[in-house]
Amino acid sequence: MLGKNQRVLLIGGEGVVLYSPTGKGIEREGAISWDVPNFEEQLAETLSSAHQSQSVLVLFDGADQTYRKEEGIPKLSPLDRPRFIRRKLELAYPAYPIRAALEIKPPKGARVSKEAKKPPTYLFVALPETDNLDRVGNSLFESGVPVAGFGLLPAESASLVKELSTKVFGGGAKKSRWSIVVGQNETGGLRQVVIKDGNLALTRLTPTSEAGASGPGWVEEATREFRATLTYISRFGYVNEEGLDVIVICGDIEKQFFDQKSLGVQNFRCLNPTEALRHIGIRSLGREKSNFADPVHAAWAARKGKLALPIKVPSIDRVAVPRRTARMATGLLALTALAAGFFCVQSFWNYQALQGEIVQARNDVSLRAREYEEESKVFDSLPVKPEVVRSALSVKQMLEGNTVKLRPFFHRLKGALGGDIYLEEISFSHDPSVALGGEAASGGMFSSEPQNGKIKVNFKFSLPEAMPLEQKVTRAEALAETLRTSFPGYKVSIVSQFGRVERGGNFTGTTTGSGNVTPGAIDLAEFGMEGPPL
Amino acid sequence: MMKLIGARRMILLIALIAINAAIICAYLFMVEPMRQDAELQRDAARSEAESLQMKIQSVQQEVASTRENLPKYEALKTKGFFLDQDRFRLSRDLGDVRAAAGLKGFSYNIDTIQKIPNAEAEAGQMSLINSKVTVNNISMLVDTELYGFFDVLEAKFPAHVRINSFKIARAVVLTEDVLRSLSQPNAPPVVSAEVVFSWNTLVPIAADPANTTGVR
Repeated sequence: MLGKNQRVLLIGGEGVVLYSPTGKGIEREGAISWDVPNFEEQLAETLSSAHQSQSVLVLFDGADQTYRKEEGIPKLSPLDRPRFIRRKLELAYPAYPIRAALEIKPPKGARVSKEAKKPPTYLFVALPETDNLDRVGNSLFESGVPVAGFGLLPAESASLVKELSTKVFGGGAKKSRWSIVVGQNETGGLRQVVIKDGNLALTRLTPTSEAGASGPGWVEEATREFRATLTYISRFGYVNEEGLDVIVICGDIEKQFFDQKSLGVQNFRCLNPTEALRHIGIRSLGREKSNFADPVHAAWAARKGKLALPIKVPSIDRVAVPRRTARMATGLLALTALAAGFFCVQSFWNYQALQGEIVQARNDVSLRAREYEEESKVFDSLPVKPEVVRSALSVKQMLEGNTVKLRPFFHRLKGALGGDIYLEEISFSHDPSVALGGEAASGGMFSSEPQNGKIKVNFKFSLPEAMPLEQKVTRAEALAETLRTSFPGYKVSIVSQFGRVERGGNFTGTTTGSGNVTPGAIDLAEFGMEGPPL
Repeated sequence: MMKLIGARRMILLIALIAINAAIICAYLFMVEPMRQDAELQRDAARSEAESLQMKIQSVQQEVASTRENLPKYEALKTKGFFLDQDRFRLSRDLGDVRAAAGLKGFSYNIDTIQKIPNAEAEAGQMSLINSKVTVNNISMLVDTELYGFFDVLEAKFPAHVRINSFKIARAVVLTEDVLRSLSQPNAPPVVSAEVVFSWNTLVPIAADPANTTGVR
């Protein structure tokens, strides 16, 4: 968990240097030699000075770190690979307690080619747990500063080499596959970092000779060591055709003593620390005469978001992990507090809005209560209760429905009878619907017809006496048919036929030549009708 | 531990934990219950307002409906639809109907008042009562006089009258002697009839004859 602009503590063979990013660039807070008697106290004091709240990244560049390129690692699942690598590391460096591995990515152009099909290659690194690391760990513990992590300078500065190479020689027609940055560490030693295709290929740290850390002697020494490095990388397959970009970070004075021709390379450039920092986007003045490359490495590491190869060092981790956890917990708790506060405030705003709505709703209730009261007064002032009016009209309607209008029925009956029929007797009865206590329900519960009961009409009639019986019977039968037509839905029956005869029944009479008439008797027929009121 | 993570960090952590606890407690035990309670109060008030609005509409509809139907109710009242079916009044009314119909005379019988169960009547705290009236020995020259009687009965008699049944029969065989005697004051009736009708009225439940005693 690295943030940008953290402080960088460079650890070298001769001591430590602390750098801190500022608005102006990078500031050297202090340098302490291992030989100082109260090293731990001094370092703790320096760490806990002005920028105590900023986390510290420990960048190691001692001589006792060791690198090894491990090829032939089989392609394994993401679960199995870390365990396999760990085992490989243990076998490779059984005596070193601090180990780490970095996968070397194939060059971008070759990713889809045969290079990509090769098993991955790893860079194995290891370093011993030294007293100096313990001392740094103690100082970090005492100072109380947060620790961002622990990294190795060559591994972290491989990307710096690429960046500088691109910025300084990027305009060339052909891009070199190899790049090297040479620089003198203030913490001791001449550091050379060589990359091939963007990956760390070789790194060398040679102790500062008697010639010193600057001046013409240092240039001679650096030139000699560079040539040695050229010999090494030739063994790793370097040929001139692949191209080599050489950048030496040195002071303006030292620049004058480098002879490019004697180095035997095409792309060579000396940059003072200010120029180098400018190339990586950091303004820093006043370092033109400095011969130390540390601030460039430190600034680059400070600006990176994360370590390329984070290393777990027990003496550092015992301080770093709890503080990192505490920082994370602090951040998490702050976020939780913000979220909880947001919900709390939102809920409170909601509550306040609801209070307004309650007031409005209660006002509405009061308003409607008054309106209801006024309407109730109107209601109470009615001369008759509404339910009484409703009830009376409803009952009246029911009674009307169960009351037969006689005139339409008898008018139609009169029309059907004709002029030759003399009514002798007529009876009429109306059986109301169930609603009025009657038994007749004309339509039934699901009928759409009005339930107004049923009527029964019986009538007796006579025909002219002179009419023969057969004609009377025929006339009566015709009347029955007329009635059925005139009163659809009615059941019309001949209760009693003239002479009480039936066409298919028993028949008694005398034959006198003047028809079947019994003189002196009144011959009547009786009809019955039954159906719904008209 | 204090030394390991730093006093300031520790204080900050404790403070943040306390702030978190305070905020969460305030949210869970104070603000949220207050909000929920307020929500309930608002819903209750809205519900009450809606209920009142429905009542208002119901009352307004009742008033409008009653005002619209009041003339019909008054007409029924005028027509005697709410009479308690007093027998003396009934006798007088029958006499008036006879006179108006121009009938010579008839006899009648009035049955005891019956209560007809009716839910619509009971909804208005009323009882539907019925008197069955049998009118017989109606003497007429022609049957059309009876239909005139029915018209007068409907027009003059208190509401509501319902003809249950009637029967008309020729009383004598029309002969020349009978026809000659029709101009005499004591002429025999040519047609006789009997009518049964029901008189239905609404009375308040308290005035229901089933709930009272005495002669009507």
